[in-house]
Amino acid sequence: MKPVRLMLGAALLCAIAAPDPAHAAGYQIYEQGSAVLGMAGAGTASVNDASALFFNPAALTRVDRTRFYIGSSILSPAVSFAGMPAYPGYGVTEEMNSQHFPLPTFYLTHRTASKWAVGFGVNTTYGLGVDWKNPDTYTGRYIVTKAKLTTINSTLSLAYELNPQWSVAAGGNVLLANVELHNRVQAVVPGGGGAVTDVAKADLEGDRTPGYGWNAALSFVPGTQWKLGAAYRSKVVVHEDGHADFTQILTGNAGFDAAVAASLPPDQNVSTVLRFPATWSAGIAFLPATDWTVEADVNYVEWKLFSDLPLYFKTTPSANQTIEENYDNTVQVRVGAEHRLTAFTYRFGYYFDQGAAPPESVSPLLPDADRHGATLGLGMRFGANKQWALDAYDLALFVNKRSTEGINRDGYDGEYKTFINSIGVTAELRW
Amino acid sequence: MKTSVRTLLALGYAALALAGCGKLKAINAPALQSGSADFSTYAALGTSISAGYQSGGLVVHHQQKSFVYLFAQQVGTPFTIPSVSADGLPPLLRLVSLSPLVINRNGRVAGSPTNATQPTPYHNMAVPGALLTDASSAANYGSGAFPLIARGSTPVSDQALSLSPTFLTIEYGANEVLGPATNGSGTSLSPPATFATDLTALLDKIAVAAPNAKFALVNVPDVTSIPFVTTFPAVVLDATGNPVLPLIPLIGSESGSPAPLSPLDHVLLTAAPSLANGDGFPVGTFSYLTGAPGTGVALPNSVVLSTSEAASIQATVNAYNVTIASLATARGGALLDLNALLRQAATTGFTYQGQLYTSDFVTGGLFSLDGVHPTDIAHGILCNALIDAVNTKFGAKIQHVNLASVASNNSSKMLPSRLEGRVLPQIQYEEGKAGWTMFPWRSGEDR
Repeated sequence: MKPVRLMLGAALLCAIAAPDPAHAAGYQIYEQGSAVLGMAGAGTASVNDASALFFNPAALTRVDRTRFYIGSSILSPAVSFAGMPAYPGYGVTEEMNSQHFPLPTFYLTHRTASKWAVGFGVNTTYGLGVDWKNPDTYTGRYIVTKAKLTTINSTLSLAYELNPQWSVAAGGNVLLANVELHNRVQAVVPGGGGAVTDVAKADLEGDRTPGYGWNAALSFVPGTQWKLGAAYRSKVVVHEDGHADFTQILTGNAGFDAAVAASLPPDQNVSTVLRFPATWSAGIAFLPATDWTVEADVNYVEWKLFSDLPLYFKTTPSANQTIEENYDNTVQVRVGAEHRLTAFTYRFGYYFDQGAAPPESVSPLLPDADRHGATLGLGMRFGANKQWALDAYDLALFVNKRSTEGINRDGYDGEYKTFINSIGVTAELRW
Repeated sequence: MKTSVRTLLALGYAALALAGCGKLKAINAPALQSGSADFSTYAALGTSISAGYQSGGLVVHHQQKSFVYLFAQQVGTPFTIPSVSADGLPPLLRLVSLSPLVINRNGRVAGSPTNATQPTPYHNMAVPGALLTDASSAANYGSGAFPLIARGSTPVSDQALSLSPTFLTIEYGANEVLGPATNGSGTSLSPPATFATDLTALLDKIAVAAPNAKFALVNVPDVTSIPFVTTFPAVVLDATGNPVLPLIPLIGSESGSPAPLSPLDHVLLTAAPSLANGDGFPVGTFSYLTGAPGTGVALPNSVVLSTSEAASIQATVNAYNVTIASLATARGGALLDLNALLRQAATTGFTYQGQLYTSDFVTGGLFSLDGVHPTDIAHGILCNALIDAVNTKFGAKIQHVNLASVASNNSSKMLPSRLEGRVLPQIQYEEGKAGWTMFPWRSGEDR
């Protein structure tokens, strides 16, 4: 158990060393199964528990009996920022508040006596949390002080075994999404030296709205040493309604405050479009011995879908905004290995996740960048007939330091640094 | 053996995780590099713009925000100024009320010089109101700001050169055209040919006295695009601030007798008392400042700059700027294109810290309450443009000044508003113009 202690110790020490961790970039969440995550998410070919519903539903035909799978990851990001010209300039540092995001996962799968398998699951496939420290003085508060994107994804997939080598699957999913955005409205103080002051708080909150998608997958096991898999999860577009509130911040200048009050938009309904990209996955697993599995996966995420985040104001359409993002499609490469010992199984892996945001879109809302993830995992089986499986993993995700290169669209330039630790435990019962 | 491999793996992982969780340290500005220039002794010659004159007066907290002062700070060189204590000389204007717009000096007291006994000339020898000829001639030093800054009969250029400057900025020409513009006249105080001769002579003098000194020339802004000239429309407005249609021109006296103005004529800020009284408004219409009934009395010629007078001034400015640009090139100086900056302010504006800064009077953020002189943040923008020009010309690496730390909001504290009367349309906030959008991140686009 030494590696476990070290792993947990590292996570704990990190929490102490960085007392103000916060949140990160790109809003796809791949932490959907502890065993596969122990192998850095390389499981499209070799996944062999109920999390196949996410990683490769076609592999559900190789997940025997009925499985009840429950668990959670906790994502703990730490984000810091160092300013550069023109704004906020050299010498400025900012950081996000400490945040920990629990991401529960639930799957129920069943392999029939015939050639069919079915799976149902609920998980969180996308999410974002931004919470900059000291919102009253945070230099980027005119862009965002706090933002939250939460999703609840329900999937139902059906898999069919064509023959012992080939399986296929298809299914649908409902994604419930909700977004919150908070910032400060600022204005140039009239008659002053050009300084700006906060004149209002703007709070936008969506109603949880569903969007729909589908999935398809393929699993091919040509022999005892090789496994191949491919999966596709479609895009989901959510048209969300919500409400925007504007709360005036009095400056103490009666004339100015009166002008602000006269021009501040009224509280009103607002709508937006949330876009969740499609993902293509392909994996190949090699079993050099009966107790070892090595897998390499490539994922292709169609982030181009995230072109912008529009905000439509119902009462004052002249206040409509489109937050341009213009993301690019990205590639992830994931490699992992599993070694099955008698007492326990250990896993490790590495992945590279390409940043999707162009430098002008690297912002306090989404400080996206290339990422390198290192994972360690442990698994144990116990109980009568070993019907219980307990798996745990830890992911240390190093997001490359990313500069806005002086061209950020909001005129907020500098470098972002993000580190994310994700730790997860899942339990699976089969009967 | 296998166990130790696993332990090593875990140890390596723990080390990696710890390495990743430190937060970013502040990024410091790169060190200054002077390139082929030497900034060890810097002197500034020029007008009210270089002097840091704002809101109708000189006061230390704005003198220390003038673009030449900021430049001296960025290059790390000593820079003495003829500082004046609050509330300035003359006491600065302040914004009393936005609605109606009331700007005055009531309750302000005159400041006094706080550095008048400095034994050496000031590094900033720019004098509000100075013409180019005043740089080398003390003939007019008995009045205005000259006694405060020139302190005697030695020409300011001689005083600046006595400091043995290694670098100079030279900014003249604005008053040659500003005076006529603000008096409603189109005749400059110096024909372009004279201006060219005088500037050549000044540069010759510098070349003799300080042969190794590098310099930057500042060109002349189009003074017909400043709020002093552009704020009041020449037509009658309705209560919502929109022109009454068909257009009803105000009454002027450009030709000597009362006559309707052209809608494109410029009614100057100095017309405010007349406009408030209803003068200039035809009988049956109402003042857009106060709602007073139109008196039908013509506005004085001195408060109106006609389109032809404005065109004459612009032609002079263009001629001055051709001279300045060619001399900068010929003599190896840098050129600060103040004219282009002002044009940008008057057209697209500048976006900084999520705010759009424009030439709008009072609310635009770039012009002080006199409608002529730049605010602190506008001086910061000028300084950064000067730095860009100097860096390019001399291969220097001077860092931009941080505009957020330059911009102040305390120059003109407002008293409680008096809400009676009408609202001056130009100072109303408009959506998208003064940052009045809910999430001012991007330019909005309806879909």
